[in-house]
Amino acid sequence: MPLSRRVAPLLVVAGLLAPATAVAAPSPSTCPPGVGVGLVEIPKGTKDPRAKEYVVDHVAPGAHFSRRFQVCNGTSKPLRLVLYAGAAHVANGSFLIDAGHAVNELSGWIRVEPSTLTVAPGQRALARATFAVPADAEQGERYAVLVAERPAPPGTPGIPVTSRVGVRVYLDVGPGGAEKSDFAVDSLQASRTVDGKGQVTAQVHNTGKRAIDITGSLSLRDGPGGQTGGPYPARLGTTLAPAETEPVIVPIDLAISDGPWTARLTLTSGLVERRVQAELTFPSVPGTSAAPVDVEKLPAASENEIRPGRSLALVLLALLSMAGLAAVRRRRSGRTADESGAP
Amino acid sequence: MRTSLVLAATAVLCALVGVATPADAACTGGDTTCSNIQFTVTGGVISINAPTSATASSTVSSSGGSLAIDLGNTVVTDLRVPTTGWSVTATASDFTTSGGTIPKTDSAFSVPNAPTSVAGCTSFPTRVTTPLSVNSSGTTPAAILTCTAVGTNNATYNPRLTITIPASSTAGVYTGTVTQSAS
Repeated sequence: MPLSRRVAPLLVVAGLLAPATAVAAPSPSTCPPGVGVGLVEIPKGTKDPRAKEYVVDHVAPGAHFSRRFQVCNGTSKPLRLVLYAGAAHVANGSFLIDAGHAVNELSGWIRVEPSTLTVAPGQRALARATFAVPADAEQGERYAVLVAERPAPPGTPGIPVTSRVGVRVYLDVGPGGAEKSDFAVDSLQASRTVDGKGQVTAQVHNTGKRAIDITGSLSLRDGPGGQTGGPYPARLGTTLAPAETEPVIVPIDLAISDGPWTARLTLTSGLVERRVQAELTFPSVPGTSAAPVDVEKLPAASENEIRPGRSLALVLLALLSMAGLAAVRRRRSGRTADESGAP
Repeated sequence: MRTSLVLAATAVLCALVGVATPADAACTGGDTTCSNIQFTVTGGVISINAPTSATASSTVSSSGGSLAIDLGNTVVTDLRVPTTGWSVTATASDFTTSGGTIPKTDSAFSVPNAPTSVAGCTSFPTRVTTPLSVNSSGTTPAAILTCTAVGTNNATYNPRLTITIPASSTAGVYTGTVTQSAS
């Protein structure tokens, strides 16, 4: 009980730092070349780091909500932009924006205002996407994009080229909590490229019900003579739809010795982290691959680390420590008074 | 003594809020009352800067052949401090002339050369070098270029449109539109 009394004012402080309605368009100096778009609102409950870039949400059927986003003119002339919710889908390891003003179920639930606007050079403007999920919407994740389109100017000679840039929307609809996000690393395979460099290929399988965006790295240890290597960043940056399997390639940009090595691969998507380990031996002959090997699953590194999301636990720990310290001090100061001794 | 302890603890939380990510700071420790509150982040943007037109530099015989048209240097800049990176897709419309149509599925896109002026992209896991035809809805069925990045980044690339001209096409000047999309 004393603990909750202490925590309550702290949350008020956090609330004051984050007013619901304050919007200050960021400084124009950070408007990069061309037409830009970015979210300016994040739902308070979201812990998924992807939510800073994309609309990544789980909502119940019938939900209504909105997100503000900014558009930005990084050219030297006024830009007339067209804003809309476009259809998108996830396939072949990519998040794909559909052609033209194509509409899918999700984009049909989104209204973007304003739909056209002219932005002065170097300036930004705010727009709002309002989501109205029908009460009878079926369960599942859907994809769309909040598009800022720079149409080719009328009368453009040659082939007019339109450019579009968008905020991805991954909206999961269903009762209760969000659908499970998960993936598995099925195998690791060591290869040697034609120019003699090492390469590890992991088969990643989306075992959850939502699309995932994967990043990660690989480390090598226990090599010949106790050598270690890495971490080597994984070459992915792709988006996997539920049930899709795609290779994740980790290039090792040197002529690494054959091994054997103990390889540890850590991959993350949002809040999900998977670590696996396997013994790999690189083939001696350039342009060949060893057989894929099964992996041993390891506990996620984050389970042993302190992360920002656990700040409340840290605060509670700090509070408890301070309370303990205070108790010790009280006892000591009491004893000091009684004993009239030096501290 | 108790009062000063609470104040000190408040200061500790403020400091943590300052370093935590906004999404984390907003709702921690199972707090269920904050889910409807939104707040502003001074988020960056992802931008694309592409030439607004491209010109075919040659004429193709109406008995068939193909045209390769470079769309010109295109810059994608990502200041969102991304966790994964970005991808580019391309779309084409039908190309038409009086009495003739070259269907969109005869258009294909590629990024023949490695990106230049690269900052922050640790790799380009996808770079389509063999022209990738658009599907019947006019979109490339996969990204033509993806950048892996954890943090702000930018890259310049020159996409190429390849149009396969069907044999016995109507002679004429064809017009159509292409689109590049980054997200």
